[in-house]
Amino acid sequence: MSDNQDLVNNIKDGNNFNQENKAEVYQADNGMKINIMDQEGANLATEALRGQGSITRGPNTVPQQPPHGEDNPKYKSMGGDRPSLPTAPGESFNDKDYRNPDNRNNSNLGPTEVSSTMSASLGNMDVRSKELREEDSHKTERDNYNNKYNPGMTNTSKFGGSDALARQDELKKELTKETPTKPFFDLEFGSDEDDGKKPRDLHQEALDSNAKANEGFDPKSKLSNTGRSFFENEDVHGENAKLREDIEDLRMQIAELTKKFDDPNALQDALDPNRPRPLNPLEEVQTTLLKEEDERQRKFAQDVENERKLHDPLYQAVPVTPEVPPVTPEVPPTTPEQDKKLRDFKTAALIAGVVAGGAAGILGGAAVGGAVAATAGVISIGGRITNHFLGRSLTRIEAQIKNPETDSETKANLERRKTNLQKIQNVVQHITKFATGAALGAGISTFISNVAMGGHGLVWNRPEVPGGLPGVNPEAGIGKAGLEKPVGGGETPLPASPETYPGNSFIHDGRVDLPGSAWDGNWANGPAQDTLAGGAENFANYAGGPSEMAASQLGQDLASNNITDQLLTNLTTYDKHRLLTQYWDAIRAGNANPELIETLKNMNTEGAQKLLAAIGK
Amino acid sequence: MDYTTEIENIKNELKAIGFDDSKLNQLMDLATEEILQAAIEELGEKADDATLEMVAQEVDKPVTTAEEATARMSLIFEKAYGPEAENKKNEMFLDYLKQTLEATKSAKDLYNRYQTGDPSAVATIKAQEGNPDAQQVADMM
Repeated sequence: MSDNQDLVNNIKDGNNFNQENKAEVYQADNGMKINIMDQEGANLATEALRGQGSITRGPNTVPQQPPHGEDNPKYKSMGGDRPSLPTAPGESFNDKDYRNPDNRNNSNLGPTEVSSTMSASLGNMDVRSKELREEDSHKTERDNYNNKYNPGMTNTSKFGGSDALARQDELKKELTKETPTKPFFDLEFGSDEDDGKKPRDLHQEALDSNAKANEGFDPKSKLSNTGRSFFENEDVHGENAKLREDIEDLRMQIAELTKKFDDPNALQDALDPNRPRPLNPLEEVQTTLLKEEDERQRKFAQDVENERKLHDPLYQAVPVTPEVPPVTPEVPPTTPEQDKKLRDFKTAALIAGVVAGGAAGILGGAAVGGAVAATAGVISIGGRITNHFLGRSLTRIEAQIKNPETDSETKANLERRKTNLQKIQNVVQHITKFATGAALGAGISTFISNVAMGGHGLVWNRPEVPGGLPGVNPEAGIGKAGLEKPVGGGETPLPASPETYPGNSFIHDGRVDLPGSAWDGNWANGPAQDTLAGGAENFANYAGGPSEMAASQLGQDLASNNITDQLLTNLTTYDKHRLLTQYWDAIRAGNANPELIETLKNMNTEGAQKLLAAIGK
Repeated sequence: MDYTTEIENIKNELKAIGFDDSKLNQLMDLATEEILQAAIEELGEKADDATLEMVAQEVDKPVTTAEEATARMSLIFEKAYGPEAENKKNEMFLDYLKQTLEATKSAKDLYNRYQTGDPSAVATIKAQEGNPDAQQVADMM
């Protein structure tokens, strides 16, 4: 059955190939397609295919073309049953057959009207074709791949590509032909045969070359002479390179370390043996901790000793070795700015302590303590407190010295001035620490102003009442001034009387006897003079200041309350130390007559409670 | 002005607000150190070279007693402030205590507001978290 008959049958049976634009598309086995919109179109198509009518598209009627028979000129021009195919590039059937107008038998076909869809399709063909090419990602990818991996390769290349696969046998032959039949060396440098000389024994040459390279090689040793020399040199070179690197590192370190001394003044300052050393906060902490640790150890040893005294029948007192006073590390001098900062912190800490004290046991938690500290810090650090005191004179002098316009004579004067100021600064710093430490037993404020001590300071006091105050016995000493004080009750308190009081081993003979405490050995005499107002109630009249007055008054109070050694065993060394300190604090705060009972109650330690109970308080 | 009475009044106020004897003594020591530093600064600003040399030599002598320490301090104040030394010293002392009193009151107020959840107080204190200065204050408490 011919293709046309099949198509006709399909049209009649409605076996359309596809539907497109509301038309049925029928396709013959030879690929020809017919679009049919309606029954009329179907009839026309079948008639045309059967050669019985003409195809009508719209208003235009195309005359039916008879099928090409063997006598058809075009059929003949194409070679009939032996068609002549194009033989040259660019030649086509049309070029061959239709260049001659006589062969253009379709020239009488005339214009054909097509549907609007087809018109649009034909009109946009070029554009669409271009778009399709652009959309041909596969082709783009392929081209990219080829450009990347087969640069310069074309389909007509001799090697590679699908062409190569198809022609592999042929290529194999070609390659076989090109394979050198001579040894590679001969190909490169020519053979002896070419020179007409005796052929070279390449194998022997290779052996000779190896033997030369291995000259001196002992199979039992690891390396030949050359090898050993190579590695020996390599080690030397390696060591040299490492040394050079080390030298370079050192040079850079020296440059870095001396960079800050490029300035001659900086170098001079650095070499100054009296330069202030930066404050190391750890040293202060260490000093405090060492002191506390010593105290704890002494207390522990004392407790052990007491326990043995009470419970060990074989106990014998260990001979007391002279106690070596603890060596306090020398605190390096600090700058005024560092001192100022530290004072601000201390002030803020004091304020924070007050804030915490009023905030219901606030120090119980670190977070709360931190908040309190932050509060005090916000208020006081960097605030108004005495910022106007910050150092300026030294800074100004140093600036003048560094000023290049300052002449040498002025510079020398300024240097002397600077040195003197620094000396004063350092000495005052030393005195401050000396005064606030245990050495003098008094705060620095006691040396400054009588107003600070409620009018009882040392510095600005002048003798006011040479004879002292009425009613105050300038000769009053331990156990004398307190005779009028009431005697406490308790188990065995004796009447307060200098005759009956046997004294105690805590404060006696004008000294504090308290091993393990900073108070140990401090003076405890009565006032050395009564030339200042207040007499015995003015610590300025005591040679040892408020610390001596504190010890003296405590001694009197112990006597007046008939606190004997037996009762004092209720107190630990720490209790006694604290008792003295509380007296000292009270005196410095302006209370010239601290009360023993009240002080013990304030202490509220176990020992203090025992003692109070023992004396019935 | 009667500085003695003024200072005693401030000290009583400080005690009332929570400074016990020990804290008060420490505060007065700090005030004294501050005042001494100010005197040295004044000396560096105003004293001529000869005076400065003399003071440096005097204070450099060994100190073994309270009287000697007192003499060194008084010399610095006298040379720094002249006849007004005592007034100046008392004025600064009073000023320091007053400012501390005010700072303590402010701190208490701020902390009370912080405890009651006042947003501005909470923000102010929270802003101090991680501040090394605040941490140092906490360490010193």
